[in-house]
Amino acid sequence: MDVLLLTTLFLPLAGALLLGGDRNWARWGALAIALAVLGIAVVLVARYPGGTAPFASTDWPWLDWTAAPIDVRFSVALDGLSLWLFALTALLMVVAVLVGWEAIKEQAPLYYRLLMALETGMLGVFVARDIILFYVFFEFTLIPLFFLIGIWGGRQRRWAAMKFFLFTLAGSVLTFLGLLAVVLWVYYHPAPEAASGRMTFSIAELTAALGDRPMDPTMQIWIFLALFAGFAVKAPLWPLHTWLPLAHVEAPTAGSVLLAGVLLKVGVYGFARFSLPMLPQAAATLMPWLLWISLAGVIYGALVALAQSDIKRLIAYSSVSHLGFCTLGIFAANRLSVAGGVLQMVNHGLATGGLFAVVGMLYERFHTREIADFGGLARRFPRLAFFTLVLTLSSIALPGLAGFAGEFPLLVGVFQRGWAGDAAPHALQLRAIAVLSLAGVVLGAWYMLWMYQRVFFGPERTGDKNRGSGIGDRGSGYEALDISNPKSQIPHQQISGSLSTNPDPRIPNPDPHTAGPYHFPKGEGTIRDLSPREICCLTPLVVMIFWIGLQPGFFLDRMRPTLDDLIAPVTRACETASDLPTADRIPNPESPNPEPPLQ
Amino acid sequence: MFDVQTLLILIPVLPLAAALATAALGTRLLRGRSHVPVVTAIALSFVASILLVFQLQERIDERAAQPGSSRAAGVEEVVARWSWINVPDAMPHPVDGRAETPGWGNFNIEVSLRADPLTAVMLAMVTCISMLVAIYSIGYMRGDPGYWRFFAYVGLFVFSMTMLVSASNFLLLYVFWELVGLCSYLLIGFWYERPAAAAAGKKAFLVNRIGDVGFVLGIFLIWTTFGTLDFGGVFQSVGQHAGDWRVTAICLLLLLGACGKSAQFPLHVWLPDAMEGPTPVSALIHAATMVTAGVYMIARCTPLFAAAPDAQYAVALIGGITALLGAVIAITQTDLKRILAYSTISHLGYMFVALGTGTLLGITAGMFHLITHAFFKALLFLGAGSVMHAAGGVIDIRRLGGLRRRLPVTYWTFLAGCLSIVGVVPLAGFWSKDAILLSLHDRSGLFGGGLFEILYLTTLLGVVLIDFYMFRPLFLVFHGQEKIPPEAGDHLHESPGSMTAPLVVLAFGSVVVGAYFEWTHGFAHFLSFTPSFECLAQSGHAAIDTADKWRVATIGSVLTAIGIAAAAMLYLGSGKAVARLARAMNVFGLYSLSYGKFFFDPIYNVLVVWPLLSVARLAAWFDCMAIDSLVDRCGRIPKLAGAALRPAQNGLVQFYALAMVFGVLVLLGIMLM
Amino acid sequence: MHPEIALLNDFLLVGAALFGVGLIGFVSRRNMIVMFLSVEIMLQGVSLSLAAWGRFHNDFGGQTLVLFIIAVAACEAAIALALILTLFHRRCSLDIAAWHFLREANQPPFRDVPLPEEPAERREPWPRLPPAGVRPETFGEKDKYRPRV
Repeated sequence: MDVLLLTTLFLPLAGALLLGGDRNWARWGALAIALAVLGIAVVLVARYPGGTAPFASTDWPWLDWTAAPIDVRFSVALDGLSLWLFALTALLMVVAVLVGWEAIKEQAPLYYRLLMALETGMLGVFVARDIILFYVFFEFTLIPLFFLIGIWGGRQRRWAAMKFFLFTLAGSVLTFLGLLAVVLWVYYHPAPEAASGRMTFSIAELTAALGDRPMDPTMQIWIFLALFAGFAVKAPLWPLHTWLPLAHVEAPTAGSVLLAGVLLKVGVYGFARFSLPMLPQAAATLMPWLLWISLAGVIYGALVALAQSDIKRLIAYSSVSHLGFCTLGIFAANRLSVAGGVLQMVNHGLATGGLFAVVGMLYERFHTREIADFGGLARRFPRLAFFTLVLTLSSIALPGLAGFAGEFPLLVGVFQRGWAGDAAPHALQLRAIAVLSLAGVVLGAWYMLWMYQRVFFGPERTGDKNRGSGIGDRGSGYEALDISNPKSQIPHQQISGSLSTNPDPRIPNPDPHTAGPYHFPKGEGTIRDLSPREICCLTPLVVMIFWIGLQPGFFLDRMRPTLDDLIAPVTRACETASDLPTADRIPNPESPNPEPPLQ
Repeated sequence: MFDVQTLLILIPVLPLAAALATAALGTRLLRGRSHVPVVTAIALSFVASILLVFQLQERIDERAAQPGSSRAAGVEEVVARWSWINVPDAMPHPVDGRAETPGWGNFNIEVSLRADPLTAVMLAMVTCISMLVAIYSIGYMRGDPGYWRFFAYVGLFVFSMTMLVSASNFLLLYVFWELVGLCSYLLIGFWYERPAAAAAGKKAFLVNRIGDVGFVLGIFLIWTTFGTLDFGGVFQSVGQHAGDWRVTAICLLLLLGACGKSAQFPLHVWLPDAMEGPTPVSALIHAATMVTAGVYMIARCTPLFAAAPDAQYAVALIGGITALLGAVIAITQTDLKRILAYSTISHLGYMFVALGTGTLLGITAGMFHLITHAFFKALLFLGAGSVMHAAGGVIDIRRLGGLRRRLPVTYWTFLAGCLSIVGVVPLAGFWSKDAILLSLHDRSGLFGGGLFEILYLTTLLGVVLIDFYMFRPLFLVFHGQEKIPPEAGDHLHESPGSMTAPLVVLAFGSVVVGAYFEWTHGFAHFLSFTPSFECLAQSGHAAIDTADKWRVATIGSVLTAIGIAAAAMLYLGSGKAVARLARAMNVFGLYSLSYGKFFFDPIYNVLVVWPLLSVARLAAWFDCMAIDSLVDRCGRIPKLAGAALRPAQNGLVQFYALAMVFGVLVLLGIMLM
Repeated sequence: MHPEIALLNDFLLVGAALFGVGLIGFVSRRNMIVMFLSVEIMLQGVSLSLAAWGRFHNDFGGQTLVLFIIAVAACEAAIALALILTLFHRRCSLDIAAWHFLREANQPPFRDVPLPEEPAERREPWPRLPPAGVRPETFGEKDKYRPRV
């Protein structure tokens, strides 16, 4: 098993180094590697025994020179938290390779090599069991994506790539400081009986050590905030989300799929892996704040999505909203909410990843992403309409599909946090949060269905009509983007001074957007419904959506033991915290009931 | 032959299998024969439902034959197939000494179906109406490019609806509650190329979502209060929570959900728009089955509502408001289907009123009305569809007239439906309406009687109004001078047999079903063995006074007769009387209010939609101009810091050398100190 | 005072004086050759102190280092003079203030006296051979830019 896990890491890396030749070689090679990794991931998932023990683990010494007591190890393993995210990554990579199959024409070998490098990084993040290794992979994911966005992106690709890179990096440097602080704290507070003097970087050992000898609460809060900086940018939590829509809109389709499907989860994964189990006291103390921020993301993201005119932007903001749900579940930190939160991460990866793929397919056909340019596509593109409908409905948590299976336990858990008998401190706030979070569900249904209705229903809109009515200036995706986004001019001018002064003639301009609005060609056969390749690309997502929706127990059972371990410290911290006097706690010292009945 | 469990599984699974088969094969293999699997499956389901009813009846007879403990327990059987989610010990035990249900806090959601009299009745009704509507659709939808799609959706709907009524825990109920909503969304927007249809589908889904938020919150609160979501567990332990504010809150939240699905007063706005869907869909989903899900849910949650009398008043009040509102609006509408839609809203209101009485009599009356209403309202809608089919899609009653001779079958069946719905003795509507009146009258003597006294009078007023709004379209469309819209062409003719046959069957049902149930006393007896109604049976109340029965029936019948006579005078005569009446009513603005549907849509637009959209735009602007620009400004900090240090880089070698010297001197100074 | 210490003192004083003279020369003069000379003087000052310390400690390390410095200084002189020559060819001036391109882009140039502008047409510093034998083929304008070299 451990060999298989290592293969999933090193096979894409080998691909990243060795893929070459012409476009065809590169893309078939990348597909073969992605499929192989997916196959191995399926085997690993099938053999996963459950329980809390790490699975398929490898533990090699890596940086353990004798001069310093540093003991950094190359340590990888799967457990319940990472299992499904790992599998999701492997699945989405196949989708990502397929989705750019025809669209990427320039410098295809480089593109696929970067994709493969990205795959190594993303898989590595989820399987790393050593803080340094985790951080290496965590940062390593940035670099291929930076180039993917910067080279094959849309018109503002360079600005988007730079902003994405710097924003994320700025946050994650603080995260690194926080992680080092954890390591050093444990190093300087060794267990009384231990005398090894070894500076361990192993996540499991650190968690165990901090469980035995908790940090003092103030220190916990500071370190928590440091970790929060990087993970919150990555997640992204409100108000650190603004790199996301830009990066999504400008990224090539595969980049968007992976960004939404996997990379956003890394932040939430970090919260679940580090912040909660290592700093439980801080998580319990800050819980209302964290939940408020998540809730703000949920509602704010939904509202902004409602006002978007660009499909990709709309879905990007819906990601902000959905990731808000995920962190809501993680931070509420009880069994149901965390299980739901992790499952919701997977579901969001499937549904939103799929939606980005769909947007890419629309874009390949019509070269626009403006909602107003579409209409009535359901008639000529019934298959596309079907797949989009399933993805949309899963995204708005229709029962029977994956979104519901994650969102319902999640929301029950959040609700329980405020309303169950053991109401924690800040019960009033937690109650309000639980109730308000449902507003996100309604708004989510609104913007997604509205988008679906405008794009797929109604009378068929074609470019011919646009031309006839003389609204061509609104027709193209980019002009409209500039109009709808008053800021879009500014960054473009800014970068023209710094980055684009040195145009590299080898990098061609991949925008086919120099032309005006798209016009439907005459004749029915020119633009076809989904090709077999595209169906292959979306079918696995839809199948998984149905599977998770109908049998979430299968997925939850495998992750629950690990999750229970992870949140156990927080639960304990909450219990002790509820003994503390708190200002906004329901004051009712006489009655055993926290809330007297109204009657 | 088949035991209860097999039947219970077969009933939903058959339509699902048919729907999947149709979806898979519809485009290539089935095409024009797409109806075959679905109609067959629904018919089989109907047979299975009838068998189920008989099996339960047998058990009830056995139970009744046992001496002594005849009413001790209801008849039910639960079959669980697979565990959807199982998270043991998901919730810590309550610390405040509240009562705990066994299995507290195990978040174990099973796909479990139940068979009890309430479910069996609903199953039989749903499959029966679905079968007839599906047969009708063979003729109505023929030639439509989405023929297979229609039948696939209908199959999916029947599956969801049968699962909804046989679900055995709140989560499963919610799941299929949403799924019927999805089917409704898909079927309303069936002709998606019409923007109105697409918008109506979205509106229905969203308004339902608002109600569903209430439902979900109710489920959450049930979970934290009772520690389980299973019907059995909740209903058994509800007695220990009597008087708890949580139970009242749960009931009010569930009521909100029911209001959404059953188109009750504040959330009724989606149902008239839903008439954009094909007419069979309106008959099936938006008249007979799906919209009654709210009524079913409240009936199912009777133990909860019985523990929260305040919530029961709310149910009755909302029902009363809706009943009157729907009737008043229906009088002035000109779209035949919308008239029927408002009539549906109004009748659902009656059912709510009946449920709100909280007595076994009332709940039985509500369910009784649900069944009879399903028959005559489906009949009326299908009749309207038949008119549309003949008239080339025209549905405006002002443009139609005197179709009596052209469409004889449609006319006679429509007339039967009208007579039944207004409650003419001895048609079905009479019995169920009478039962509701009786339950209200019965309740008005008890505690909280004032409200029910008013509701009783309201219902009597409704009995008069219904004559007007039902006979107005009948007279305008079928009587008087013959008016044929140009869209119909010159071939206006009666619908094919596949459409008229269900009309005849439904007309027969509308005529006799009430009398049959009433005379055999079978319905009330059967239903009273539902486990959910045990709490009512225990409380018990005095038998109804026979004199009261006669008095109520007489009052109702006399009012109906007066109403019909008045409507005939008004609408069969010249239009002058109507116009005069409209002017007279408009003195108080009543006519405009009714014609404008009490302006709910514009009000909601101004109060909810526009503010939300404005806030959304504001948020988008804020995102771009405030948050993002702040981020960009932060990005410029290094540049500004660099600008401050720039003059030092002046390109003079000597300056650099001097700086180096000073640096060394400073270092030396530090070292020496 | 021990004579060795006295000797060391003297040597160090001379070394420091040399270093100071060189430093002042480097900072205050603008002629590149003189600046280079100043640098060399600083280097000699340091070498002198190294040699003195080597003698004082009775250790050859100091002297070894001095030999290294002499060797490096020789190389350095060659390179530096070549650079200075190139710079002179570019500007026809040995003034260091003529070279201030290393400043930041938006900083004004520091000028105390007007500097000679760079001649618009540079005289190409090609070798001039006495005419002998056959006159070589010329390519007119192209020769100026030496396209083939």
